[in-house]
Amino acid sequence: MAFTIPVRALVAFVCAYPLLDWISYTHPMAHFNITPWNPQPALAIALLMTYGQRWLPAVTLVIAITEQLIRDTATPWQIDITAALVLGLCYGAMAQALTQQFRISPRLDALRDVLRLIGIVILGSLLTGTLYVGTLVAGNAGPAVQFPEALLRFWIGDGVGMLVFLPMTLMLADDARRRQLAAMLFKPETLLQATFIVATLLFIFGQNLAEQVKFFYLLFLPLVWVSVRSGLLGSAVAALLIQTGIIIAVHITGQTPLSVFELQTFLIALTVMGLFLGVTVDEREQAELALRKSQKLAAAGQMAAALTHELSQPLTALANYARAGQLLVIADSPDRSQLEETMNKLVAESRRTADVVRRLRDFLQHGAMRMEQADLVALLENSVARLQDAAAAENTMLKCHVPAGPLPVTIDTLQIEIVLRNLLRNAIDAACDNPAEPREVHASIACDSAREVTVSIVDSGRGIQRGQSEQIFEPFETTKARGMGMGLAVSRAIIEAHRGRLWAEDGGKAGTLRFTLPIGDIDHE
Amino acid sequence: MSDLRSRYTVFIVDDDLSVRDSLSLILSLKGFRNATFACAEDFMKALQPDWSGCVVADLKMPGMSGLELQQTLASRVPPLPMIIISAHGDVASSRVAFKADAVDFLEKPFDDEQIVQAIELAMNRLHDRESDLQARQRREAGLARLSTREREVMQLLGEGLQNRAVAEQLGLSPRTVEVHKARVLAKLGIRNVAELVRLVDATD
Repeated sequence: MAFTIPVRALVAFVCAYPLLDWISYTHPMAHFNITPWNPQPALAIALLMTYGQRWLPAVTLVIAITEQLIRDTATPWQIDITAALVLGLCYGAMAQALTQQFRISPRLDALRDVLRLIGIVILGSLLTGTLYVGTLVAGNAGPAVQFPEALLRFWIGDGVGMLVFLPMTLMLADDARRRQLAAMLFKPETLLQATFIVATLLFIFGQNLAEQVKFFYLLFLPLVWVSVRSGLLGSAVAALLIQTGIIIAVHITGQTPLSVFELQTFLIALTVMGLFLGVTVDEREQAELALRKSQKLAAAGQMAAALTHELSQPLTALANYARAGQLLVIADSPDRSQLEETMNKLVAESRRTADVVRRLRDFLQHGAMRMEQADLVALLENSVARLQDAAAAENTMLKCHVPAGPLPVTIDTLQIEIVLRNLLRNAIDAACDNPAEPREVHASIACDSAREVTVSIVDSGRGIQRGQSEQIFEPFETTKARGMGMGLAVSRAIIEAHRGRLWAEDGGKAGTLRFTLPIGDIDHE
Repeated sequence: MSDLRSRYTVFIVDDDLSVRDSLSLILSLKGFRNATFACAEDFMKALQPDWSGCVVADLKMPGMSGLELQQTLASRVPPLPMIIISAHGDVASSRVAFKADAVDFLEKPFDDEQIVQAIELAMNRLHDRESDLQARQRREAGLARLSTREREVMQLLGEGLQNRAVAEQLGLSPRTVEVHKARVLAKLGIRNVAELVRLVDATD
């Protein structure tokens, strides 16, 4: 087995463990040295989970040294060593349970994992407390009568420490989560949320001692906000911030150890709620992402099927023309005009084939759509202008009604051009199908909402039969004499990839198709 | 074989101009008379009662589909054998086509050899049916020309009786029966009593 020493992680652990212990060494309970928050065990567990149990002796050594350095060491050294051994073994067992028994992912992106993590922390800290306090009582370091209270305080202190620190530390060990954290910290909203948390803490600790606990529930508000917006990572960071704030406030306002324990009990409830809410938000987002991906895949599949069909036509013709050319060469007639004509047709068909392949490639590449800022008004005007000749040839008026000035949208210009061309061509054909005069096609843009813009193409055709407005989007569904009936299927796939909608108005006298595009930046994964 | 190519026409019905045009070119070069139509409706409009040949039709066309065209032509006399060509052949449509007696179901893109083979099969089938039809028509004409006596002789011979037995039953001499038998065979254009028995069986 390859064996590398995680130098950076070890150095970080050796520095951070005593440092955290030192910072959090406040309001200790007499004789037992039990503090109301104990974040450092999370570091030990995270290290063992990430790098394996072979570091358990080293971790235990660090624990033992730290205890000697920081704690009030009136107790005999044998007891201190035994207590450090108990702590090391218990943290090792918890790490073992989390990685080997439950195989939770350090990314913590499933509710199941978070549930198990919380369960192990709560049971594990109870067990650790029982053994640790028991060791001290057995070694006469503390009075036996205080066993229940000491156990409760240990349980809460270790429990809250691990609940706040362990998810955070684990996520920091994961690359994707680290990137997510960096992105989150640079969002303006994060600053706002942090300000809200600090303000709430200031308000709570501005009250007199008796009132403080009463207002503690206010902290749920910013925590819910952060969890809903940023998921588990957000709630872990928020819980850490709240814990830090509480400790600072407790130092400044000079609380009794008892009231600090009360606050910490609240913090447990707060943190557990935040973790659950955060992971639920994460899971929902993952499900949404998976759904969107599968939709995109389905659209690409639909497109591929449609284009395969369209490829087989020119391929058939190509084979025939090529064979005909061969026969004409063999016949060796002095008149070369037919051979020449056949060869020209062959070239034309191969161009048609290449065109289909190009379209397929353009579409399949939409996983990496080339999103750019474009002016929808100019785009529509250009598309309409390009089809004026075709419309005039069919005696159709093609008119464009657009708002003045540019309308910036973030789109793949090429693909939206395809959609506009498809829809406008369809509309011209539909207008021609109707013998009624005058033949007209109207293209218009409406910005009736701040979030999206609607493009409408209305023709003077017979309209879409009631109940048919969905059917026309099926591939190969066509009412036209030409074309394969895939234009609308492809157009819808493109618009949906842009997070818009494309639909046909059901019934009605005129044919109406509309699509929406979101305004402003849209993030594409 | 090549007389069939000039006797029958291949009717190409496909909405894709290039497919239609290229198919027509290659078939012409191979000596098949052919005509092209952009849709089934155009073909039905143009179709004359005396046209004889086979149809190569695309499965999916705007308006009437290849399968619908096949259904419409199913009861036509003389029959027009169908070859369905398709860019998205699925098992279900090919089943429908074959159940309705299609000669072949080809997926695009196909080889010119494949389509020629299918067309030749269709023409052979057409030729066989036409020969059958002609033979039957000849026989019916012959039957109409038989005298009453000759018809009685034919009937009894057809039931398997020997000349002598026929003669006894009709009160004729065996020799006379022999003469009538020879005339029946000549008028119906058949060679022996065995064929006569089959004919009588078929007409009963």
